[in-house]
Order: sequence, then structure tokens, then C-alpha cells
Amino acid sequence: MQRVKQAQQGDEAAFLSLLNKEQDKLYRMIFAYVQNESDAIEVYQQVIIVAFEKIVQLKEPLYFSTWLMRIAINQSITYVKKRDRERAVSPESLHLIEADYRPIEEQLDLWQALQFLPNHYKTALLLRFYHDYTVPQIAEVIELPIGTVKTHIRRGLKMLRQHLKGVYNDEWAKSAEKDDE
Amino acid sequence: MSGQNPLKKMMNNIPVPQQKLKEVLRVEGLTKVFDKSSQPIQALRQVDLTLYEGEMVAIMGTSGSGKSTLLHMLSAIDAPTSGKMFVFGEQRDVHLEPQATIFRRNHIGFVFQSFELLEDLNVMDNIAMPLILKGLTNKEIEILVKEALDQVGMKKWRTHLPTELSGGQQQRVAIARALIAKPSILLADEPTGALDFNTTNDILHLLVQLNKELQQTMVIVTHDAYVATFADRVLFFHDGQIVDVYTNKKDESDLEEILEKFKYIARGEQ
Repeated sequence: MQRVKQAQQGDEAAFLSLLNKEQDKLYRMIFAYVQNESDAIEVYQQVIIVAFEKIVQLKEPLYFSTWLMRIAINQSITYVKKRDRERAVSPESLHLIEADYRPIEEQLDLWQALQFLPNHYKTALLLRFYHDYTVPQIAEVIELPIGTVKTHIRRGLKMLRQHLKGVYNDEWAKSAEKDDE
Repeated sequence: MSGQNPLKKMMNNIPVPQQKLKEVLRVEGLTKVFDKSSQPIQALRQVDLTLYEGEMVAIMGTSGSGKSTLLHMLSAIDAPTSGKMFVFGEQRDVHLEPQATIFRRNHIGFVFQSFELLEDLNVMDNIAMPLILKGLTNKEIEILVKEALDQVGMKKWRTHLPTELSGGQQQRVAIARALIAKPSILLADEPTGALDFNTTNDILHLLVQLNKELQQTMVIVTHDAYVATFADRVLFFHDGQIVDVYTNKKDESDLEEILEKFKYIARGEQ
């Protein structure tokens, strides 16, 4: 908590040390939206810059992690929207786009199914099942009511299941859906 | 629901690009010969060593292995007979005064086995010492000392004298003092040598915590294998050279492995 206060006073080292614990998870979260390494690195760096600039506005140092997560999600989604717009406009740049990430065989279906989800379902599921956030924590990050969060999780799992269509990961999606009711 | 669900497993498999390690201090061909007696003693023989930002390194060796001499070289307390030293990648000749004192003041924080606190000053003032020497304002010093007290958990004792503190508490103060000027490297010479087992544990956990939170590079010289298990990697010294290296896996096998390697060099077979 002291480090947050120090960071708010402009102490870069304190700010960077705060990121230490969160780094990998943040990067992977961003990756789930942008889907390739160079974009993920770029967005990650943007997130750091934005976060350092805005940290003075953080009223409750306790909420640093969730606050940071919100920035990462928003930056990622904005970045992808802009990128996809630009991609549509300039087909010449298609060959410059990095090959899509290929996870290992067993996880390919889940990865692709995840990419099919609209952002609000995807975000809810990642926060719930990757970051182990509680529903209230998720509500805080995405700034929506708890009921809405629950709906997003439920519908997200359902959609995931539909895309997985009987592949083994389907089992988990089924049981997770039941647990969360 | 915790544990590894398929989504988490998949996400954890996403490779994270490795950051290039930043070099803090490097020595090449470091040699020290003590020429006083009739028989010159080779305390250090062509030692090559690199310390990276944020790592905790343990240096183990029997007495006479050269580990204390190495510490003196790294902290510019004494000058090598030959060899090069690089500070943040730049070759520097830091062993002649006044560069040596400036180097120590700017880059090195010390923690000793015997704490070495100033008996006439209270906790706060002991911690403030390095900053007073650096000429900071009272206001700046006050803020930094407050933070340091919190970091080592000695806020309640800030007006006490060292004689009123236990060994562990004194060492906490010493650690706060060593870190307050944000040195490039913290050098600790048998930091838990004078402490009982429980206190040793507390101090080591504190050092690890500070190492991680502040990305503070640390070198701990020790003859205690248990202490070495807390480090990221362990360098084994014998007869003036680094003869073995071990990277801690951070599981139960570390202690045994380190003991094995230490016994091997202690027997003088390397």
C-alpha cells in the first residue's frame, strides 16, 4: 500500500515493483484479446504508461489490482477494435499480420471457442476462471451490477459450450455452469 | 472454484516474453594476492561473476575460501591485484579513493553479522544515517525513514536504543539502514550468524520479501546451507575460485543438494 502511495507521488521504481506480481497475468489477459505477441507487448506497455499517469486518481490503494485490470481490459478491447478497423481498410497490410497463436492440440478448441465470444462474456469468464475473481470483484472491475455479471458468466459458459460441442472441455463448461447458479 | 480448470490451464500456457536481465555488477578475472607474509596468499584467483538486477545470490565457502575477500572487492573496501569491474555495464575503476567511498555510498548497502548499529543513536537515527551522509533534507529523510520502518516492521520501536532491542530487531534496523538509500546491491555477511533459528527464519523471510518487492539485488555470504536455500542461486567458493553453482528449485530438495555440494568443497576435493 505504501508503494501505491509512493507511485502516486511519481516514484517509478515503486510503481514498477507493484507490477511485479501482476505482470504475467496481465500480459496473458491482454493476449487473450489481441491474440499475438507483438500486439500484446505493445498493449502491455500502453497499459503501464496509462496506469502510471492515472494512478494519482486512484482513491483506494487497496483496489490497485482490480483498477489495473480494468485498464488492461479497456486498452485491449480498444486496441483490437482499432486494429480490426484498420485491417479492414488496408488489405495490403494483411501479410504483415502475425500468424495467429496456436495453443497445444487439446486447448485449441477452447481457445477458438473463447475467441468467438463477445467481449463482455469473454471478460467475465476470464476474470472468473483465470483470475479467480469473485463475482463482486468482477462487478467492480467492469463496473456493472452483480446480477449482470452472473448473467454474463452463465451465458458465456453456455455459448462456450455450444462452440465446444462435445469436445472434452465441454465437461468443465457444463459443470462450471451448474456451480455458478 | 480454484485450482486448474481448463481455461486457466490454457491461459497459463500462453508464453510470456522473457525480459532481458539487467546486469548490475560484473567482475572479470578478479585476482587478489596478499603479499604481507613471506608466502604470498592467492585469496582470489581469476574470479568471473555477474550480478543481475533483482536476484538474490548466496555465496558459500569455508573460511579462507576467499568469500570475504570477494565481498571486500565488490564493495570497494579493498582493491584487487588485477581484474576488471563493471558497474551497470560500464567499466569502472572504483578501488581508489575518493571513488571508492563514493561508490560504496551510492551503490552498496551493508548488513553485518554483528549488526553494527550506533549504540548512542535510536532506531530512527540509525536508519537515517546514510541519508544524512548524502545530504538529504530533514523532510525527505523523515519520509524515507518512516517508510523504511514500516518495511521492516520496526515502527513501534523507532525511538528505542539498540541496547533495548533483541538481535532480530537490531538486524531489522540494520537492514532498513542498508536499504534506505536504495543501493544497487545489498551485501550481507552472515546476516543470521548471531541469531537463533526462529529469528533466522524471520530475517531471511524479510530479506526475500524485500528482494521481491523492491527488486533489490542481494548478495548473502554464508556458511549455512539453510540460509543459501533462500537465494535464487548459490555460488560455491573454494581456494579463491568459484567451483560450483546451484540454482535453487525452491522445493525440499534444495537443502540436501546444497549440503552435498558444500560438503564436497569443504572436504577440499574440488
